[in-house]
Amino acid sequence: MVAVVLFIALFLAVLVLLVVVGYLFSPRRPSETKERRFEAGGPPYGPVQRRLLMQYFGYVYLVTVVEAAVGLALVAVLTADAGRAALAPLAAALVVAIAAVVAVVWRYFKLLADVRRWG
Amino acid sequence: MDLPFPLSGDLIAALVFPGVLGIFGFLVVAIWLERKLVARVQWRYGPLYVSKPLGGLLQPVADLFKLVFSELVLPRHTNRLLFAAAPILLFFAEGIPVVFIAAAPGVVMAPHSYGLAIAVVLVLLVAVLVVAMAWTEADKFTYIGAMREILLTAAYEVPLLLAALAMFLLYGTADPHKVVEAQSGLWGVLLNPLAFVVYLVALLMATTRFPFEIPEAEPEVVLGPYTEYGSTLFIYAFGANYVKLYVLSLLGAVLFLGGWLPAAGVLGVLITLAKMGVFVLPAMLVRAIYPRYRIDQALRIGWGQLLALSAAAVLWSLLAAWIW
Amino acid sequence: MIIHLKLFATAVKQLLQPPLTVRWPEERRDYGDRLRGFIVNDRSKCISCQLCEAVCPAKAIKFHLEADGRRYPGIDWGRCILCGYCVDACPTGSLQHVNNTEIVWTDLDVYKKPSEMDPDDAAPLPGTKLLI
Repeated sequence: MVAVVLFIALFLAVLVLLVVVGYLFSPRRPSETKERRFEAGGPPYGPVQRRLLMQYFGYVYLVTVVEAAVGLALVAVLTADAGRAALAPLAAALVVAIAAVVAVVWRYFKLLADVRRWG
Repeated sequence: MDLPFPLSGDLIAALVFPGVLGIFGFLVVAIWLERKLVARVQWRYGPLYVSKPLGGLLQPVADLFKLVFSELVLPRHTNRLLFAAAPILLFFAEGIPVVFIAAAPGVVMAPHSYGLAIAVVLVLLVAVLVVAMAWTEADKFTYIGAMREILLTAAYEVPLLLAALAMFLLYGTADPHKVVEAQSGLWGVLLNPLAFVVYLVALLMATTRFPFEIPEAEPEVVLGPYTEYGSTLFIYAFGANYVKLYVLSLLGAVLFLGGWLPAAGVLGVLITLAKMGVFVLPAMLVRAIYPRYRIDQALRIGWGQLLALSAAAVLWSLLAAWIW
Repeated sequence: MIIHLKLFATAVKQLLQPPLTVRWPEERRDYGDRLRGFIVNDRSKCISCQLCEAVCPAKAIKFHLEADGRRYPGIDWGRCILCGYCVDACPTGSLQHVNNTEIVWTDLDVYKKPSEMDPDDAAPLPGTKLLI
């Protein structure tokens, strides 16, 4: 346990320190061009040739995160010593989490389904 | 040498290998090795300016100095705190899975009977932080790079899990010490070569190495998810990739190549380090060998051939575990 | 499947071969002895016939009045393409090539006067790395 805490603390400390030291000792000459978005290529002309379908990528995002997180939770619960007795709280927690996700999706459903906002 | 605290195995794991020094040391050596190997394959010299007698080994350190003391630009069109925090968080989170992997008997920070399984799942979990980082950059190139990254993650996730599962089934455990002990007869690569091949390809996909260097494809998206970063944050964003390679190679060395066998202690740590090279060297060489797949070709491979191969690896493991 | 192993084998084979790069400035290319390099003028042999100025395809040679009352050629190095027509055209052989192409000036005013084209102004540079 001590080793884990030490590792996390040292790691974060080194990372943050490097950024802070860099920021303090580096030249600071801000200009409007530097703080703009990066752009490349020529200005668009003519009709759109192919659209990037943005609205479905959220699902891919969900799949990768939720799958891994739920898997971890399942493993953590099932490998705990409680065994069968832990299934009821696990089911309750899953129901609460899914209900939260459904609530958010319900509230913003119209917004999510509006293709004009994503295209 | 008397220290104020006892230098136990897990402290060595936290500080030296596979802890903080290991991660940063690997970053320096891996970047140098990549540039040197690719250059030699292409009949040129590689970086030789900085430390000529060492073969240019300190070139990444010189690059680190240059980048750290460059101007740190925080753009105006996005949340500046998140912009600065995202790469730090990504780099940190990519290094977390080493907490559960053992480099030698006792040299592990958090020994857990399901340690290696937790490490694999953690590697998959932090893949989403790249997308979060790309989102804070609020740039269309980073967005496309992030979408490619998450699609690629969805492609290699299941084969990677299945390959690890195949090895866990074969050994009957996911504890790092017991996994290595189960390999005292034959190494994992000989027990289940299918799982080894799947793991290697999934490693190339996970660290976005050629031929799967799709999110960072320079001719298509300018550096993909790391486009807007400069100075120290760029080191973290770009280096997170190398930390992932470090974690996956260490995991592969323990799962497939027999970890610290046949020695223990300091020699065991060195042997683990050498075995990591079996995964790191091909990952470095592919830069000089392969062209780049399209995203749909990579997805087809991930969900087609790779998935079938990983399912076959699990079946092989079940058969082997049932026979022996 | 086999093709991947073959690719790696090719990469390793090329890894073990020596590099082709010339590590300038420690090593220099050996172009051989009769390189058409920097052009120098031996003024003791020059008869100011102006054949070099007439034959130059890039109009790089212009004649200048020198202290001894005669005119000598000066080459504009921004225009000279080192083709060697002037060396071929020179009847006395006063214009010669030197075995050196790596000439660098620190000044944009690269118009060399005749007095800066003496044979001892440009030394031949021995190459250390053969091209083959």
